[in-house]
Amino acid sequence: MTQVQTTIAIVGCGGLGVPAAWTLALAGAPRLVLIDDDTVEVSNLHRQILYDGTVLGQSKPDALRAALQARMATVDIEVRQGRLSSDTLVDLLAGCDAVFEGSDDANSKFLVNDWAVAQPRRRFASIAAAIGRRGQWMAVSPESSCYRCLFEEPPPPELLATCQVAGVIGPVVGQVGALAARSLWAVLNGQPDMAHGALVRLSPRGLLRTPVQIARDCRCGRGQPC
Amino acid sequence: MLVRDPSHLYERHGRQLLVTGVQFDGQQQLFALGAAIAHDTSQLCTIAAEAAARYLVGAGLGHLLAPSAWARTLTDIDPELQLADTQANLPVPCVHIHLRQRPHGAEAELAWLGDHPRSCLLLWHSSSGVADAVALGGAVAQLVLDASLGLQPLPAVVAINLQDPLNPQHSSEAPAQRLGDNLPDQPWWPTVEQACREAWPTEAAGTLVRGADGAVTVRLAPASHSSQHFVLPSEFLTVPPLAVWHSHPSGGTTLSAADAAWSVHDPKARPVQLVLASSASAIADFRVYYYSALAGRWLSEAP
Repeated sequence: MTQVQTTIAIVGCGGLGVPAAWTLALAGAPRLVLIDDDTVEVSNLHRQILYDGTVLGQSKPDALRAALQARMATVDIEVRQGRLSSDTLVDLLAGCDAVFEGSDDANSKFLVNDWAVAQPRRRFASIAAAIGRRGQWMAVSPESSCYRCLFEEPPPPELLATCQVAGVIGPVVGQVGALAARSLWAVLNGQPDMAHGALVRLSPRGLLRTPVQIARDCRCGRGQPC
Repeated sequence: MLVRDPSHLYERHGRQLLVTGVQFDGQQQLFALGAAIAHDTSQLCTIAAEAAARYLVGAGLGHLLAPSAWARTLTDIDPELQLADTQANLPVPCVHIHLRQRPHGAEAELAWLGDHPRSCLLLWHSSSGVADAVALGGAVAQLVLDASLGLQPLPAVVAINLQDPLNPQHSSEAPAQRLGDNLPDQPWWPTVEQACREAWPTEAAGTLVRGADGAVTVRLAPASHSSQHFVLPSEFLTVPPLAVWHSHPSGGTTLSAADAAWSVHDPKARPVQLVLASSASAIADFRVYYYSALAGRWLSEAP
């Protein structure tokens, strides 16, 4: 797939999505689709670094589009207001070739995973998460192992730690978002990347990354066990 | 000392306050502290510095010196930020960060760092591109926050190579190995001296390896690896060497930032370097450097 044709969706324009969108724009992504249904709040400002006090209350994808275009006017950016679900997925991801998933919704991560590995269209995704001083991400494609090979199903909501409960450090979530976007860009361009089919964990000390190879082993919508 | 109103603190920094190592006291500490961020004019370093500064201001760092055009917008993130225009206006202690894409010419900064323990020189690997800027900015901000909160010591030099997941490994706890009391009397010295003569006026480089019988042998890096700046082939490090040596043709024995960065970040390297000031006919001077993880910097031993 050539870069010229690529449309990349950013699902979740928060702590992970902001550095991811900035990184992809710097990498040369020609077209981004920003997806979120949230607005900017004061509690976001410590980690969602392209927002500031002048955009409080604004829609996050609108504020992110403005911040990115102020820095790189050549990037074509479309805003789609909404939250990814099985009902909205087809509309929100229409025309996209790749997705960066950085929302705080576990179901959304599995939806994006299944969207990326579904045949016959060749699509890609990078699925990221961060909490406290730790973070992880995985890049998936039709030929790689995928999120379901590791986690099988979304966990019950009551078992999920969120940054509202466990906290999160801005620079950590920033590194995870940016590095996960970098992995997506590499996979999209046919370059090797340590996160392709592997779960990469970021050390609490930063930038020290540990890839854990994931064997293909699931029933992830490809019609047969991987 | 309560620096800021608690309601402001919880509303703005609530997510961060939950994390071990920050919490209420750490957050108040951040409000009172400062950092200075300097960078070269490359696009990579400029954007990385901006990203780092935005993360630091978002985290509540109270004072910042960042002499760049984008710094003026930082008070939109936190109106209580104190932007300093000189280092004298920053609180003490203060963390100093220098971002450079090219290590050559950083000797002055490295010398300055030697006298300023709360300072760090970050060097990007040549493979880094502008798309790495945001990740690198996050890493810089984490270094500053961890040092400010006393969670991690601030390393003197960090060389970051995003192609290598083990990087940065900026210090080593391995004890330094001594090369001997009088190096020109060592059996391996003539081999090194001859290599420096033959390579002059370009650099010669290699390793010293101790064999099973205790004898030290010299390995020479191929000329192509030492024509501009020494980079050892990876196979030289499969067995940890006793030391890494290289020459500075018609130069001094100061460990340059690039020299320091190479040996510090390579996880297989032993923290000993021998720097030889060579002329066309002989080794004019030399110096051995040991990396002290506790001191967080290179220490030299005069010959």
